[in-house]
Amino acid sequence: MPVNGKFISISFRSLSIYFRGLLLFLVPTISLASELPKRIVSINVCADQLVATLVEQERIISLSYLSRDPNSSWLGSLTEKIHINHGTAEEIISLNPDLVVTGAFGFRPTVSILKRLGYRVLELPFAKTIDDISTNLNLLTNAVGNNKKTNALIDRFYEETKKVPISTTEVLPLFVNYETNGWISRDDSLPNHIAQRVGFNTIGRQYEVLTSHKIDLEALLILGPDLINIGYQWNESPALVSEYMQHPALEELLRRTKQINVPDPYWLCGSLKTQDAILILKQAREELFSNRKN
Amino acid sequence: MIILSLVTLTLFLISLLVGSMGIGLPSAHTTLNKVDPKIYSLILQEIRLPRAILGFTIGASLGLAGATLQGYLRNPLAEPGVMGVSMAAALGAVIAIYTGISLIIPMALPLMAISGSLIVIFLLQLIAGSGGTATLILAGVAISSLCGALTSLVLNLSENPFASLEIVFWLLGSITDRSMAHVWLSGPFVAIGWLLLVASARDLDALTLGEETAVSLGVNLSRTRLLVISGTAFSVGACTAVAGVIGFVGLIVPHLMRPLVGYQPSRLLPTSALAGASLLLCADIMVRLLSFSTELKLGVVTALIGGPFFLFLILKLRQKSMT
Repeated sequence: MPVNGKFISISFRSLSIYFRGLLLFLVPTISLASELPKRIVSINVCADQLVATLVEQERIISLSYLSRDPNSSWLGSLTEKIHINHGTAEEIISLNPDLVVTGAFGFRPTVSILKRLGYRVLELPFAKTIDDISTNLNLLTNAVGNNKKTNALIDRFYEETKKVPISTTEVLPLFVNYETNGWISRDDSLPNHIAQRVGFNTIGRQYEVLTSHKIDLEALLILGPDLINIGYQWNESPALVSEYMQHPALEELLRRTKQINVPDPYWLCGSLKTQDAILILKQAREELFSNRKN
Repeated sequence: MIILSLVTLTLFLISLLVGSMGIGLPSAHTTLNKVDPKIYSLILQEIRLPRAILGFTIGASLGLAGATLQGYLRNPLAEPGVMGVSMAAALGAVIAIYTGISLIIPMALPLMAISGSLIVIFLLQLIAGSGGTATLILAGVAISSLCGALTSLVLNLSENPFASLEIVFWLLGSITDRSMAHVWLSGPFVAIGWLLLVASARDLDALTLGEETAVSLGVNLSRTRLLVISGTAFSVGACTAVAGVIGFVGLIVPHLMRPLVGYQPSRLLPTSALAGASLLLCADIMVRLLSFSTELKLGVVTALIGGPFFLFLILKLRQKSMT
């Protein structure tokens, strides 16, 4: 059965790659038929990161205010020259956009007003898997058109994510995406999906008891993760949170456990940058296994 | 007394054995590495031991302070939580932490909490010192909600987005994932507080006969007041600084224990301390056994027990005053 399963999954994957190629090939003709949008506004932090990478700057009128927040978005200096919006309907309408890109969450009243007034709105679902990211890339390029540069970027993304091994035979090392106050990523989140794809076990998958998104120190110590990613720690201004990471038991665990540092924006939203998170995890896994052999 | 000590000791040991991963020594499936036995000792020493010690000291402090205050004010509803003393300590602690003072001087945390309590007890004395039961409780309620509001204000003003979530910790209290550092930080002050409170025991016995008789028996009233006020501030303030406000322990415990010790304050004090410790350890064990997706705060459990008890006491008082 495993052999069959593998075969089917391989053929599925090659099929889907084939379709993607077909889509990319077809997209320019479709887009050329209708006018390409020239005044694009994004009101969602996840949409910002896709728009900014796949659309020429001249056509981007405005991005959301969170695009400048280094904890949510990796765009950084790319946004310096672009107008920033706060997602209110009045603000967006005054920008006179011909395409408004948004995500699944936030600013719902704005979105419904814009739609009622006949603005073109593209809603990109929240990406929880690598395939979701591919879907969003396709949705966006269908709407805004594509060029050589963006095609190359997308191709590279497919290339990198395709190389991700799917291993099922060995005892899998345990990965935890651990945030301050003991919050952990759920199993239906992008970080844990990536970890599973790369060949890690995640807490939700291994221990059914722990379906919550919070874990106390004791449970974390007993589960003994093989790899920990520490998310952003929120300790610029003092609070109990900043004390949390200094607990002696946690410090001891971190001393014994391999750590990686994936910047939050890499996988908070699914974007082309997510491939860097995948690379970091893959490399960590290889290092873990080579240490084990030695 | 001996039985009570044994119960407390047993609960203390159970507290060491109960963890979020079940009762007894935890077992884990192994992944790449075998779980190191050192991890078990780490869990016991750095997570469960400080938790059990804090559960004991905080419960004992609240029980002791409640018994002393009830004896000194001769008021059955007196208690650090109801009187606003705990909330004031929380305000002091919150100011120390969120302004960053405690990062520079760690001692500032317990000290500011203690000053918060001291100020409030003095205020209460001024406002309601000569008034009856109701005046004291009303003043306590007012001061308590004022301090609660100021605590929330300080937390809302913090730039850290987590600070406003931490309001829950300060208002309801918790000893989850505290470390030995918190034990060392609060321990000495709590010990001083206990000594001061216990030193007042004889005076409290004399006070049961009324102030004038007490004075004629050689009790120095201003000394007694100093002992009670500073003792309460030290023990309750230092505890609140590391665990937030945990209510009602000091209210319930002395009432339950009073019939057992023949209504004599000096005997009530140690008994209440032990019973308070037992109650809090018990509540904390419950918190761990009832696992919800987000952690249940310790103050929720004590309030669930204490709230109805408080109402029951008020009803009893009313019946008494009617007959």
